[in-house]
Amino acid sequence: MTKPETKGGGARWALFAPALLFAPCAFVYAVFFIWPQASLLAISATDAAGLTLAHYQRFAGDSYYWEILGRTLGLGAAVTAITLVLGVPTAYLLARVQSRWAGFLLLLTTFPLLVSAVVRSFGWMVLFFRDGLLSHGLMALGFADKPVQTMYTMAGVIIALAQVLLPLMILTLHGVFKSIDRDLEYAAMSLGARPIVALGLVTLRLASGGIVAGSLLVFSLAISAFATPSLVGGARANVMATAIYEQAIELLDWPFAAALATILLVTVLALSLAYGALLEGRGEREAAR
Amino acid sequence: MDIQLQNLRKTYGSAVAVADMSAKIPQGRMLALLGPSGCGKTTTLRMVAGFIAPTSGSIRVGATDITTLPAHKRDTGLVFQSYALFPHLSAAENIAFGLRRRGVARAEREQRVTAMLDKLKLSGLADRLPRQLSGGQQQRVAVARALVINPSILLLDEPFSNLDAKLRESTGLEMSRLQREFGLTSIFVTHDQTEAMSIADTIAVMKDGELQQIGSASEIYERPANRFVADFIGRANFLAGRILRREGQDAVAELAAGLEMRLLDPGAAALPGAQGEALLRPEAIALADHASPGSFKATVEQISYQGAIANLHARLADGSAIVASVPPEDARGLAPGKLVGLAPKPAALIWFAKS
Repeated sequence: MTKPETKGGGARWALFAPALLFAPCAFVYAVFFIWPQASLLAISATDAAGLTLAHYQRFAGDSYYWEILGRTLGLGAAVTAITLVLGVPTAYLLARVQSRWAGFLLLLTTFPLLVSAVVRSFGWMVLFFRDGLLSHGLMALGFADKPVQTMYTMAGVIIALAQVLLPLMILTLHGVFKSIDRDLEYAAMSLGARPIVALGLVTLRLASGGIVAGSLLVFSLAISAFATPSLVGGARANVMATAIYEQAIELLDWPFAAALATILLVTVLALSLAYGALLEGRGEREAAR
Repeated sequence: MDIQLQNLRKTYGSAVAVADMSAKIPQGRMLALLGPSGCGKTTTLRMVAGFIAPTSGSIRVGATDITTLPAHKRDTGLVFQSYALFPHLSAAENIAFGLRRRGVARAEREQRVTAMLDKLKLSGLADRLPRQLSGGQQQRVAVARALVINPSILLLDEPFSNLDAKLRESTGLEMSRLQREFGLTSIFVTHDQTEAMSIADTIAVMKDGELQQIGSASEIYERPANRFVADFIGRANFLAGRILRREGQDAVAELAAGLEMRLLDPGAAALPGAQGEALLRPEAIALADHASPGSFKATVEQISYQGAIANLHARLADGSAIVASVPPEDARGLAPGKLVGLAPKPAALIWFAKS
């Protein structure tokens, strides 16, 4: 008679166990992410009189802020493009190379991640100053006839941020390429595809989901990056993150800072969803073909 | 077209993956590369496919030397162990892949794909993605994809090892039928000797990159070139012994288990006093009375009933283990601990000198 009871207890436990295991994480997530974000949204849409869209109207009506949003998205696109161009071949080679150095090389690419973005950005500052290595190098090679200032330019921010985020792109893509069976490329070649065609039709096609995921990761991190733009870019390369900092910490305009943060968040979400939908749509079209 | 491998060799640094492999496969025949993992069989196949460049030696298909030809120009049909179906393409698109690369026009392409789907009993499954197919169906798509391009040679890399035992046999026979129907010269890599013996015309046994023996299934089973081949192909008992005397071409050996046996043509090295081992296949042993002359005295340890035969595991007087495959009715009434006589059939022993 006791047996069914213990069994029932076990079944009940089995039912609740996943919820219990999930609870601590859900709790932390709710208290430290969802609640602050909701508060932020609330702050951005209220003033002394109650609900208002005034802060958003201020953003919409001021071309200065549109410019900052545009510059931020441009920065994200440029950094994503650079990390893709540099990251795809590197990750592919690291995933395919048979050498016993492969693991070490991968570790080497992740080393920069162990150093804070602030330190790495300082490194770029040393190179970028009018008197820095880059300027001297370009002059010595004859590409420039007078000192080049890369500090406090968008170009400098893009280069530095691409370097900061490249390891993340490589790590993401490495995992993706590693999971694609090399025999698929061989199969394509044995069926008459030139190696480059096999790479495109099979490997890159199968990696496209991962490439999109890596791009989204780099893009979101790039447009919300703060340390690199503020150190390398300064006031002349104002982006959303630095503008939010300025409003919240220097001008103490919390509601407007919250509105800017919300706009940035919504932009990232919208782009991610659009990207995802694009990918899904393509998948379905191919299945139906 | 016939395939000719000449002194094919592949080394990685000081490690030899394949050492001077030579073989000739006549038009329409199938060669099995058989051996344990790491013996170089897959490396050999991949050199023929063009994925691995040989260190030295040459590969000819018909009159053409293809040793340095890139893989996509080799015109080979290849079936992978993992099938390597393109996961994002349907069964029909997988099969059409090679035709597209060859620029076959749409109408002809569709007609050839449909014919191939029919031939491999995949008709209703054309639009399925590989993950929606069973293992056997995936295997057939992989075969169809390799055959539809009318390749000049067919390469099979352990194509049945991911199928369950029952399916493996029928698929193997079907594969062999298709290979003959298409008249394809083919190379087939396997570690499964039963598979190799049932579908290949010629078997090349490999070990540590070295070719051990090449010949028909019966040659390799009945006249193994060395102890490794004898042990790898089928079940084998090895009985230690010593040559007593020569009698013309033949010799008489004294086995440790306590029997003098005649060896037919053991080779010139089998001189009196030479130590070695005699191969005795389990099915070349008959049950006898334990006192009968010309038989080993053995103690039964275990009897495993297999249906068509019973395997009798026993221990000989010198302590060595022996297996005899006997008709089940002969094994009836035997029990572990019982003393029996095991009589080798005439001319059943093959001598391997101690190296």
